[in-house]
Amino acid sequence: MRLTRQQFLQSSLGGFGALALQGICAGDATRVKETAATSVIYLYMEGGPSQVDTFEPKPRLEKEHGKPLPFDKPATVFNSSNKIMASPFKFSRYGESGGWASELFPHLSGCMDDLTFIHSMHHGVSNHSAGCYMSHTGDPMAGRPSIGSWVTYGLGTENDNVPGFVVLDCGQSPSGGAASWSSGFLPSSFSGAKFHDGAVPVEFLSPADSPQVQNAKLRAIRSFARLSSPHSGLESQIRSYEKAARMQNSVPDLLDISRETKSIHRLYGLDDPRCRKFGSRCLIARKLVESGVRFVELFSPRVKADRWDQHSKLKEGHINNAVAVDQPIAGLLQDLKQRGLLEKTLVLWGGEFGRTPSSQGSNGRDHNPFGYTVFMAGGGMRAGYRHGSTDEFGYYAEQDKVHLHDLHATILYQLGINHEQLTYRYAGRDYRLTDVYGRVVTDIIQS
Amino acid sequence: MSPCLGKAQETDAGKLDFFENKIRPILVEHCYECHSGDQDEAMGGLLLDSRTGWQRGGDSGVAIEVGDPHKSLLIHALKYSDRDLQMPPESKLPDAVIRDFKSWIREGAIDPRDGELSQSGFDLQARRDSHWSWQPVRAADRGESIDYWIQRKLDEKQMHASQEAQPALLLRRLKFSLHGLPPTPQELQRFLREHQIDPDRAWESTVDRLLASPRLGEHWATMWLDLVRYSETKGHVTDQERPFAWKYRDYVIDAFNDDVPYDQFVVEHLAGDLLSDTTTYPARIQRGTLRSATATGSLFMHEMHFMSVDPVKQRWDEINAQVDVAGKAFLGITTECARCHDHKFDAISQADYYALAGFFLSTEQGTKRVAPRRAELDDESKSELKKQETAYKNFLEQKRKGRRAAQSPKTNQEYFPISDELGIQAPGDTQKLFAMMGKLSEVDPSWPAWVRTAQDATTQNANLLIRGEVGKPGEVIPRRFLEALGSKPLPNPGESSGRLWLAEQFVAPDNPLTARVWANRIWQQLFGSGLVPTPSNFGQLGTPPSHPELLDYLARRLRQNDYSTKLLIREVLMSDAFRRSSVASLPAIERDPENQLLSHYSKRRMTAEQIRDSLVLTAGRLDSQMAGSSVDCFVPSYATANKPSNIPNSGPLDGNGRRSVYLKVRRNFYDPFLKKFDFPDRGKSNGQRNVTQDPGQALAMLNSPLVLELAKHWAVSLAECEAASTFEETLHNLWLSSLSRGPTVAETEVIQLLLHDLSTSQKSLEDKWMHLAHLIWNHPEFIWIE
Repeated sequence: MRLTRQQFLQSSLGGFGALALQGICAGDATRVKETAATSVIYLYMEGGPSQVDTFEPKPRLEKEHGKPLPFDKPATVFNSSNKIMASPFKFSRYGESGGWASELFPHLSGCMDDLTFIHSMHHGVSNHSAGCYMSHTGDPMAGRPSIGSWVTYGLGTENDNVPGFVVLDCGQSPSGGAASWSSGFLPSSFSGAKFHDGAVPVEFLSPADSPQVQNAKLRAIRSFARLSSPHSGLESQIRSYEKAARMQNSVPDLLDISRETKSIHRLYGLDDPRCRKFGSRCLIARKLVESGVRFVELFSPRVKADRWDQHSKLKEGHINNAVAVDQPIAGLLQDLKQRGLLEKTLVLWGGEFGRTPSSQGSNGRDHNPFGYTVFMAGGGMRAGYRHGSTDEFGYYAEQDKVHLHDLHATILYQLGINHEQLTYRYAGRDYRLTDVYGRVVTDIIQS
Repeated sequence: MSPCLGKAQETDAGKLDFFENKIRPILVEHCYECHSGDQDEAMGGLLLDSRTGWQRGGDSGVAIEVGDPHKSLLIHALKYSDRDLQMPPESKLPDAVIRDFKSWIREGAIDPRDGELSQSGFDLQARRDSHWSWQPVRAADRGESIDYWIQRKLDEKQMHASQEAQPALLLRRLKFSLHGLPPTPQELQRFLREHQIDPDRAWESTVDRLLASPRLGEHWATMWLDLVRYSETKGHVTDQERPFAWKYRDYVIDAFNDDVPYDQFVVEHLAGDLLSDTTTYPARIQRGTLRSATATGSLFMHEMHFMSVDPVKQRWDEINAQVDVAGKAFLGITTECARCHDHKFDAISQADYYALAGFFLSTEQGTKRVAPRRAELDDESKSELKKQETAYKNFLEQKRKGRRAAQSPKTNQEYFPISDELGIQAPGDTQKLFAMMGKLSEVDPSWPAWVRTAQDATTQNANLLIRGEVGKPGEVIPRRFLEALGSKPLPNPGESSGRLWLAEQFVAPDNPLTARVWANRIWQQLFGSGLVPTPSNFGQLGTPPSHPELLDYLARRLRQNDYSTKLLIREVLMSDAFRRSSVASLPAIERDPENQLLSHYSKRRMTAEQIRDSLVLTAGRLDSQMAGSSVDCFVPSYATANKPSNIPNSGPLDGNGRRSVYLKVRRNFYDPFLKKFDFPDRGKSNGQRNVTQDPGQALAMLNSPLVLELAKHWAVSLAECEAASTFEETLHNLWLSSLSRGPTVAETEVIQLLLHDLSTSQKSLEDKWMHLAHLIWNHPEFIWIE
């Protein structure tokens, strides 16, 4: 009898699974096609970047600035006004594809022909935490597995010495905290491992003992194991000690960017203090992907303003946030490309929702989960392509609407996974990342 | 051929062509994906792949008014005129196509597609009759016992049971199963002494002694707290405090220690606030704060959105969570599916779901005084209390004045649920508020004298929500109990929420689920896995019991003993099955690798709490203080390196030596050490924890500051021990307190080798023992119960 993945995990006491999973993944029923992408970098722009100030210009906003919206506005968290607000930013078209970008992204606009935009994202969840959970787990409440957990559960890892799902600390934790990268009811080894900033990059990773002392202790532990009566749990216990010991060495190496060339540092904007933090994380993300990490996630960095959540002072706030990520992301895309990694790496940029085209106060925008923009690059996506649009004001997704579940289904598809077949039985139900929804958006995939 | 089609052909073949050329291709390309096939699966319940499909319509009503496009929902959906009904969902069809549909409808909506609707396969009675868990608990068999039923299964498979385990291992197993702690060397020596004289008597008296110890409740409460997703914060953006949530935690601990009959425990959870005659138990009187109403606080431990834009949806999120937890925890049924449609597998209809939901719809949060006030305080305390109270009142008064007029009370409540949490208006500085309340409770431990409870709000029945969507109310479903269990209607529905009546149905003698589910959880606590290995799901997708007769026997015993949890635990502990060795025979390994037949005792890894508590106890750092406000978790420096705004206050590294059950549970910041060992997400009801093995666990045991600090702590007394006795004796003690046995000769040799390797790094006796304490906790056996 062939074990299902879940039976396998249960019979072997779970989650070291990823390591052993390699063997049972290939040819598994969840695979739908030759894989386009093998890893994902999720650049999560927490707070909600404004679609009408970044990549989807709406001329009517400028024309009708200050006038009321010609339709009933839905309830928003601050029940802000229905007065139309023009974007404070100028838009231009870039590249052969002629995609639009505002002046917020002088570097990224240079990569326009590598990007795939979805301008018609929607899901209807208005709060930050719920939106973060929704974006990561497909459900607005905490407790379901994150997309990174599903992906590592589905595909295992290619590098036994590093966790398969890594979250890089960029200086602030998103709303609702760790539930966004938690494995939920999947075994906890599929949780995102958070690599912190500073002296202790990974929880409990810094050796308490000198290498000599630790090695002596590990030898003793191995001897005790040999002297104990064998059982399956004991074997995996000892294996986890071996892996832990290797991680102590491999992780600091992966986090060390000092050996990268000066030009690489410049490419990621490390010489600019405004984007050094995010730039160094982007560079580490590349190293992680290069070393076989399956899913890397970066949250928008701490800047002088709030994260992309400009209920007021939209102009200043969005400038601060954009400056911190623009050059690093452009650098990351170019670097992945020049190393031939972009084809296999799906890069996703986006927040939990967009913002209202109407104003909040004199110069801010409220949350808008009914129409917003994300972009992708690499991983077999259709480069230089813009999919869907919102209405003339940028409020509601209108043409070729893409629900978050659809985006999730498409990402899994690009990784070679059928989103309807990647399931986990928990409390009497077979759960999926896409719940009972989701369709693959074939238009945005390279044909 | 249907008469309709015949007529169409006679009158106008051109209309048929129009359908074939203009309408059918669009339906196939844009609609069939979601509106064809099985009616149960069709979106919005609408089928567009046959004429009967649109004639019957979907959840929103009839799709097409033949002859009148303006009255046809289908046209409204295509035109995108209503935000909530836009089809196809991806994007609007071209205007020309919509014009085609209009003229097709105007001209009579000729549609040649015959085809019967597939009938829904839901047959509740048949499902109930064919599934084991709905059947009545079997009648008694002559001469039956736990071992009788286990032996019968073993005999059927011609297998033999393993021998009784070694006494030291037995005591270790017993201690972890009852108290969640290893035996101390003294306990171990006493037991071994008594065991030598009379094994059975030693066992019995030890079982009784441990059952009477308050350490029992501290361990068993954890399992229950998982089920009701106990947390002291609400999660989401602000992770707001749920003030004095720990009173519920203490209620659970006391309930186990006082052996509150389980049926009463259930009633208290669902309707404790409605009990007129509040029974008191010794521990409750002593602490003066606990009464049955406290239990109903567990109904409100769900996550809370911050600044919800849809209060009705938020209310339903709350009700759904309440139905979900009640179903899983007490009845072992999963109701989530039935929120949107009849259950896919079990005998639970969508109407059942909303019949139950009505009880919670009629319920709200309230506060209840549960203790008399501070009659016994001395004058000094009284005056201090007075002072604090005045300060507190002033604080509230100021807050009240400071409220901006622009904020409507409704907005206020949504922004700061704390205001209704306390039954007072106190938006704003909640931290300060809690600090003050904390002061008050220091002066008077019975303060606050109230707890958050449930209370009756209305006497409402719920509307069935079509597809579970809040905006789509269907018919009203009167409050009643599950159809599969008799469909009893709530008597006098206009008088109360009916929760008390509902609670009585949960524990009624003809309800076979509640007693079975609880007996199975007790078994699971003692054996690591239940007779039903899916403890919160006794439905089709759960796993049926390995020993159905035994499960029924246990359920019956529970009832015979007035639902005494302790008596059932005792009976299981006295069985041979519990006392078997964990060494499996070869035939057992071959024929029953999962050990479902219980020929031996299955090894299991300890829970997160058992591991941490073992560390704290063996290090000599355990503080046996019970009850009261929780100790903040230690927040490591890396978590605060960037000074994030949403990181809680850090508590002491070793939690002041308190047991893990007294550490604060925050949804957005679980204790990092416990989390490594599969401490569950407390957002959802959890009946069985994952057991994973992960390098993160090895790293925690090797490198976590908690383990290192405790090792240093222990090293002091170990060094003293060596100074007063010998190295060998101290080493023996180290082994005895951690592994409940002495070191083997081979292990001693390993230690000698290690000490040789470490010779340069041990500057003192304490250094040496710090290393050895650290090592023994990383001994592979340390985290196993066998």
